[in-house]
Amino acid sequence: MREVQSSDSHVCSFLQRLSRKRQEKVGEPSKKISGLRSFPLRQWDLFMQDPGVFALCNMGVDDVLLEPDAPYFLFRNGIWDREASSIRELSPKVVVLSLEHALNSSYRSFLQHRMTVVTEEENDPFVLLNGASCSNGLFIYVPPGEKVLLPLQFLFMQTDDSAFCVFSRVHIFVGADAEVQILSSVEGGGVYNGYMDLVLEERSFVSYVSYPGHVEKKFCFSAMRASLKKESYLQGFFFPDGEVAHRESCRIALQGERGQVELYGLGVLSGTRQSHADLFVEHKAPFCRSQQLWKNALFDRSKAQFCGEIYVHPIAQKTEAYQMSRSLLLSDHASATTKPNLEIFADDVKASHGATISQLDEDQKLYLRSRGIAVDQATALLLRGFCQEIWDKLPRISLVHRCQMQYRKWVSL
Amino acid sequence: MLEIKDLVASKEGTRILQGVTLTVEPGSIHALMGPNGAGKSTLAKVLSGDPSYDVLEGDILWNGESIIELEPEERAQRGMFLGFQYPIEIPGISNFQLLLASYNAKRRYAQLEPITEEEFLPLLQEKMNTCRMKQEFMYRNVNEGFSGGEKKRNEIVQMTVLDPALAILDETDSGLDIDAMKIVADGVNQFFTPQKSLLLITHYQRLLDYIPPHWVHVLMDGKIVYSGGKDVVARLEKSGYDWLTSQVSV
Repeated sequence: MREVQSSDSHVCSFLQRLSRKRQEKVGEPSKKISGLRSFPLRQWDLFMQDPGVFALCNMGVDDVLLEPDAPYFLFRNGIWDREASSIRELSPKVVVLSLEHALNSSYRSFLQHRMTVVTEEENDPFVLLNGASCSNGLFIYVPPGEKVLLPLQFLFMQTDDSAFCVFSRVHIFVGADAEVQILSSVEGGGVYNGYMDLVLEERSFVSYVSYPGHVEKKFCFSAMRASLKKESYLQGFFFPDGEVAHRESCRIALQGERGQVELYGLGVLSGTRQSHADLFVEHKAPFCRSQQLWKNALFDRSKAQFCGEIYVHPIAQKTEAYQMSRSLLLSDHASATTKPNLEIFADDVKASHGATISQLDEDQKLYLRSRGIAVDQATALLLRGFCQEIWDKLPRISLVHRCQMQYRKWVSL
Repeated sequence: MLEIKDLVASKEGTRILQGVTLTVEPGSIHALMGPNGAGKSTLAKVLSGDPSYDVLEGDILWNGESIIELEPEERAQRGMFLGFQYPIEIPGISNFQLLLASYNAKRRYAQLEPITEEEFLPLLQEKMNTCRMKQEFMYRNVNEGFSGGEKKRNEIVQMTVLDPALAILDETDSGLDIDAMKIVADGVNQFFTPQKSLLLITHYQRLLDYIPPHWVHVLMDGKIVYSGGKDVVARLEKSGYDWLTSQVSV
């Protein structure tokens, strides 16, 4: 059964009401909110008052699509363009609905419950802004046992400047024993505020990659909320690429035994770009495993902030939770801030966190130079080595190539 | 090929080399021995251009040209190779990537076109076979997770690929078992031709049994205090450095 329906002019009033109510409690984005203390809120305010000129995507879908033979969902200027999307390759068992339609379908109870639970716990004002402002979105249901072989691609393109602030919202429910790969990228625009909600049923697997687009956007707010049931497994990859600032907000709840989550981030920032990551992994069941590895290489006057929290509930015995943040400072004016946080209320847990902020290793550089490699190339090689650890974990070779292409652009090599 | 003239060098204000003079001709193998802290590794690093050392006096000539002001990569491109005593681990960069970049850097210096990965592969495979390194090491990160012996053999692989005119091997034999030492020595001997030179820094006779030197120099307190033939090695092995200390005023 496949239903495809889009009614983008309508408003998801249920979600808006919830979000606005929560906004009243949480308040506007401010330095008082944990995770936003070093976010460039002043620049954000100025931009919202006068967005000025921002880049638009005038490339064709084929030029920016990563996997031409895989299904894709195209969002133009925040609106899902059903006609321009291609989901023929998708199994007919996979249900695709506009969010508005899903809220009026048999999925209504599930969706409303999920939205209520998540929104009532939400503390991120940019995520609440998404819920309050999003005109529509997408709902995808992957039925139990369905192994979606080709990745689902989400392409967010800003093609005209009628709206400088674009909101998108995708809710995906992955049934027991199902598997799905999700690739997402944003092309152009002033502000992109995207929200991805994932529910993983027992033994399901999701690989999610938010990879860098070709065309810059000024501000990028990306949020993922995920709930993992027994023995499910989520892998997430994030590559910040906002011209002014990128904020990645992840809240993952390991609800069932032996759930696993791995979150990987890699930023190579130059100019005055900023990357802010706010990760929260909650262990709510025994025998779960989580891993966070976040890396930033910072040129010029760029800045990176990493806030990572692991929360282990008393019931979550035999937890394994690891967190590592590594920042490379490649200029005297670049800066990195790391705020790791472990809150453990179970007594049989393996957990660790680590953070390094350093420059390129001079011994490594000298070793390469002693092999005839010029200092610039040695620096580039070491930087590539720094990135490689994340690239090696990517699930598709096309992603590795795209990320490496972006890397070459970043470091101008 | 290499002339070291009255070389005085320091690190962080401490003078380590106190006037080293040594000439290395093509087709010659030199062993440099000496007690711990004599300055052997410092000499190797100063020759390779390690910027953490300061040359205070003297000169280093390479085919008649002073290379004191040259960067480490420029010295390597001219044909000097340093096998590190403690090879550095480099996460994220494979042996293949490192060696291809090095090989092409040398080709560019010789005004030759860089070669492709496909062209480089058989060359590296052959050199790895020579040094009896498993092919899987090609795609492993440089020295990461290697045993001590594998790291030293990897240095020899790099040397044979880059085919330098002068190889300075800093305690390449330390930490090697007997079989690994034979493999390393085989690799070095295959590399050696009448056009090339070797400077072997070592504490032990065994490596020199496999790679017989033409000259043996003893460095003590930053100076070469004795130069002679291979026979000095047996004497050092038997009597230590005391007999030199008593003979030479240092």
